[in-house]
Formats: sequence, structure tokens, C-alpha cells
Amino acid sequence: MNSITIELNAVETTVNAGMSVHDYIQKSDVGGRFIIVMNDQIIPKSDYATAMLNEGDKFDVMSPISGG
Amino acid sequence: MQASNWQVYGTELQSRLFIGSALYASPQMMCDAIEASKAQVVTLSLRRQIPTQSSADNQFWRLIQKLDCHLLPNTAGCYSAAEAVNTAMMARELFETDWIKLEVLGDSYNLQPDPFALVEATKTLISEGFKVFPYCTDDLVVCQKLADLGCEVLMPWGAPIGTGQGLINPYALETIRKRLPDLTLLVDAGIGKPSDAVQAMELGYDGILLNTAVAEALEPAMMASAFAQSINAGRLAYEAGVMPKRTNAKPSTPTLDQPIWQQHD
Repeated sequence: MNSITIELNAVETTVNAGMSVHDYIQKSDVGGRFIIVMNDQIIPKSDYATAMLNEGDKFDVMSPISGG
Repeated sequence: MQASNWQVYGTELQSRLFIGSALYASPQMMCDAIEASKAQVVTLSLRRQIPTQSSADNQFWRLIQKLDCHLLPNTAGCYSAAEAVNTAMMARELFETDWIKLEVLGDSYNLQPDPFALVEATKTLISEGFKVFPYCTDDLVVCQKLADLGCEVLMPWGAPIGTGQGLINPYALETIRKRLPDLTLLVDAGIGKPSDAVQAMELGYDGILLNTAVAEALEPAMMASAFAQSINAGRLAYEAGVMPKRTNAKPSTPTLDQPIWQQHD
């Protein structure tokens, strides 16, 4: 199976080619409250199934943390 | 007696304390302190999720939700307008609120806000529909610029974040209060002890935002309660009207008809 390299939370990571954001979330440890930001663009939840991961994409999973 | 209710961007609040969710020794201590503070607004932030920590992130989020407070996400750690705007956009999506505590820092030594970048980011965010709560210095002109842009709330510092120095420049804070009488003002950062909060409230500030002073107390929940009471006391004093200071003494007990009158020099 072909693979691509993306920058997942600032770390180079190899994933299967042809994955959507939805596919990736299903196969990963991503959980709880989060949003997905790809190449500095927020991906709406309604687009998870159609937004595809491509070689070199910057892929960030953002979650709540404590703050002052 | 409870001080009067107030409004921030159309939301009516009873408590005049905004409390941070960081630096507590344990999640339970955070919850106990926030509950004891009676705060209705809690600040929090966002970061990249580390997959191995997702369960811990979930726990934090579950606890925050149980507190049933208004959420005020921040843009802590941003050093440019672009970074802050980007973080605010993500915060709006993640927390489903258009409230943003806008922090744009200009100096890493004392975490002093960058007034130029702050004004620039505020302008962009207001045009994007955000309700901006800018964390700013106690500079009157910066505050006037932020108000001109449409901020209904301003949050000048008492002292740099986490220092507990209290109100370093009460004159500047009082000037902002007098020059911007219709704005909602909170002192954000630098508060170390309840008497600092009382001082700010007696100056006419509408509220206080703090975190470290409670989280780093030996008994955070007890300190949170102390702050809740002091902030209420300070506001009551402001609403009651503080007496003017005098140069000379003035007897409080009537001297008329005193049976023995002794003339003193």
C-alpha cells in the first residue's frame, strides 16, 4: 500500500495514501474534544469525510488545556 | 450583601471574579477552587493534542464542563497579531464561543503585552465577529484605541503575569477608570492577595481575572473563597461611596455638651 508523509502535530509521520481526515481519526488515538487544522486551515467536522490527506500536509489536532 | 450584577458583552453575571484553570496541583484542586471562588467565567487554552495524553485532555475537558461556567479561551503564548488571530479562530471552533481573551506578548521576560500587535489583532478579530477581552498594559492611550475599535471590555494588568506584585501603578489604573467610565474594566494579572483585589475594586474596576494567586496558595479553595469575598467587599465599598480623605482630624464623637471641657493646645 502506498504511503505518504505528513507533519502530524509538528512531527513527520507516515500514513497510508488515500486517507481522509475521518479515516485518520478512526485509526488513531485522537479523542475527546478536538478540532483538526490542516495547513493552518480549520477543517469543519462536516468535511472530515471528504478532506483528504496529501503528501507534506501539516496536520494538527488541537485540544483544550488549562489556561490563565 | 451581594454587590450588583453586571454584564459582559450582554451576558449578565453575579460573580465579579474570572478565574484561571492552570497551575493547580491536581484536577480535583482545580475544581474545588473554582467552585469555592463562585466564578462564573473560567479561562482556558488550547494546544496540539499529544495522542498518549488524550485521556488526560479528556479528563480536563470533562471537569470543566461539569463546572458549568462561561468559557473564556485565551491566546496565551502568541507573539504576533497573526498568531493570536489564528489561535482565536481555532479557539472559537473548539470551544464554540466568540469570547476571546486576547494576549499578544511583546517581551518574554515580563510577558508584557505588545500594544501595537494587540491593537492590530483586536481590529481583525472584531471584524470577524469576536467579543474581544484584550489583556493590555495600563497605558491609557492603548486602552482608548482598543475602546475605539469596539472593545466593550478591557483588561489592563495590575502587574506582570504570575508575579503577585499587586497594583504596581494604581494611578494609571484609576486614570483609565476615570477616562473610560462606560467601559467594563477588569484587572488581569499581577494580583497576589485579596487586598490587591479590594484595591482594584475600590478604584471602580468591574472585576478581577486571576489564576496564580489561587492556584499557588497553600489552600487554593480557601484562597478562592477569600478572593470571592474580597472582590464583593471591594465592589460594595465602591458602590457605597468611599469617604474623602482629609488632612486634619475630625472627631467622630460629638463634643457638644461635653460635661468637662479641657482646652488643649
